[in-house]
Amino acid sequence: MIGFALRRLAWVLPNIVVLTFLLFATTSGWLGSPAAMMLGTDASPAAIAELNARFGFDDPIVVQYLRWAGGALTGEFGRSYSTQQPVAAMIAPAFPVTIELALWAILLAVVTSVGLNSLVVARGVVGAISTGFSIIGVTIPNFMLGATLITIFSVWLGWLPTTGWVPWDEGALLHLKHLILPVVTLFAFYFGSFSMVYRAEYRAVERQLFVRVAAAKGLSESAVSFRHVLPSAVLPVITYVGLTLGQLVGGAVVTETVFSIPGLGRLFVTAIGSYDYPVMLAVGSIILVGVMVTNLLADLALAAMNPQIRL
Amino acid sequence: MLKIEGLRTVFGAAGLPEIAAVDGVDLTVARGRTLGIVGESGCGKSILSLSIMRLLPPPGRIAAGRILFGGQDLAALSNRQMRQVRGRRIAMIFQEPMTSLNPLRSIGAQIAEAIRTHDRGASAADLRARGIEALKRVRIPAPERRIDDYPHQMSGGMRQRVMIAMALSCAPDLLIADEPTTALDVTVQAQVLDLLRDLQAETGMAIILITHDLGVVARMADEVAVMYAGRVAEQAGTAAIFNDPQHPYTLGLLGSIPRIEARPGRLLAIEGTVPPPFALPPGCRFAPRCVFADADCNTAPPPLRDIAPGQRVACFRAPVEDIA
Repeated sequence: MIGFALRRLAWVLPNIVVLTFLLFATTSGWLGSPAAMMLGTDASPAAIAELNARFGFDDPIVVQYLRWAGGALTGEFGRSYSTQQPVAAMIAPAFPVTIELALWAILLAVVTSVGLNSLVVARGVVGAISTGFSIIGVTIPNFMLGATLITIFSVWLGWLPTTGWVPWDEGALLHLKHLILPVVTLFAFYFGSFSMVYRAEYRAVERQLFVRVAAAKGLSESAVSFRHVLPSAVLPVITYVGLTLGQLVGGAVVTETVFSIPGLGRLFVTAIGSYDYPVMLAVGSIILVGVMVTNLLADLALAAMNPQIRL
Repeated sequence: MLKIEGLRTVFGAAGLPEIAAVDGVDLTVARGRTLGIVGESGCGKSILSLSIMRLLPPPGRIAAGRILFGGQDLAALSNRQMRQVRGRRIAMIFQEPMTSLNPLRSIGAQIAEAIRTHDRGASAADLRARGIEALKRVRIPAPERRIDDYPHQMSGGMRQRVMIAMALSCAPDLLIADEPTTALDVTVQAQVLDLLRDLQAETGMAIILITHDLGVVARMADEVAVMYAGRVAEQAGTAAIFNDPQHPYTLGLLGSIPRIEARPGRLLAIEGTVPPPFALPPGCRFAPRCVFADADCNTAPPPLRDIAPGQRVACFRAPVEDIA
């Protein structure tokens, strides 16, 4: 398995080079002049030329990319064009915020979708309610759900803060209170989609002969469900989690914006709005690496659970 | 030891008429004996076995009859009580050894689960020792090593041995074997059947052997029940079934066995097909295909009656010697 991980990593590296190059080329070179963006539309041609020369915007795109990649490898992503701050210093505080939000939402979604849908009692009314919630979770837009939750729990009931973020060290309770609504908002979608994937697979596994054999041993219905159906039916959910977690590493764009959470997603949106391409590049690269790493982790988890996969 | 009386198993989805897959079956199996149940696909033999285990897939249910086993009526037990019977007192093996075992768990873990379900106190070391012992009994070589194998590392014959080891791990009084060798190749079939017979001699368990293969029945069964369209057509000792069959359907089945000594030619086949359970004839269910049928056969279903000591047949026209 270690050999497999190393082989996969060997593939990940060239992938990252190619993809970051495409990312770099599209954001920096092909979409417009960074100099014009930094100086404004009425800048004089002389000023633009001077800026291009100073930052190397006139160099061939490959040279520019290598200069950027060399910096990125040492954690140096350049300076933001809009705030003039080092990009690394902007990302450093945002990254853990995003990761915490993503992990809570995904963890809760996996546990509840797999757990609820495996419960034997969840076949009748509970099952129908859970199906209803899955459909609502998948279909309702995030910003709408977020705004609705804020209206109910913050404005009407006053139980929870409307927006914002409080770090752990300023009070754990306050931290969690600020987390609840954004986590629930993000969770709703993933609960719905994981439930749908899991239920479909559950129904397929349930019909397998080994499930009947397990029942013929004298196991209770819930033991059959949790010990024999769940371990097989959860496998596609793990693959799916690998994909979604990788995307969420780059920030839950809508949720972070609605709840004014200082994560990567909000940083990304702001950067796009102001054509701040060093920030866009950095966040884009984080998403890219995140997707590849979480997919690798998902594959390793699948191999650990399924002895038929030899790596 | 097992006595089935008037068992009727129906499948009824809401709003549709119920369909009886098993319709008024009486059977008995004695301790240490093997009852072969034969019949074509769809005759209800597998549904009968799942009825005994109370593992009918929904919307199947037992609508009438009793399944008396060791003084209890299995049809009347609660689910909790039934779980004490499954695996512990009645075990079952299935047709497809390739898919009978959970692919994600080692065979040792799966055997241990069968033992632990009925013996909560067993320690891990104890479970392992008993698992190895169970594999040894079904003649799996190097059981100390194979116990950690996963199903995909084993052949079909080996997996069926594992299934037998698992089924016998709690020393059941009755083993239901639903087409246990159909999916195996011929030499492995013989090995598995010999193994079952040896284990039966060792443990004194009864076996219900469900098959469509009359060769397997001749080799294994003490008694045979021939099923047709959800009913027992004939039940008798194995020798009587093969030497002196009384039901025209049994005759037809025997006529369709290829024989080495017979001159080459067409096999005798029974004309027509089994009537579907939603379009059964009013009288004898075999009458439309029966060469001996007359007007009486279409009036009412023939009851199962004794025709010779130990031989029961559901046919108005039997004994067939008189008419043939």
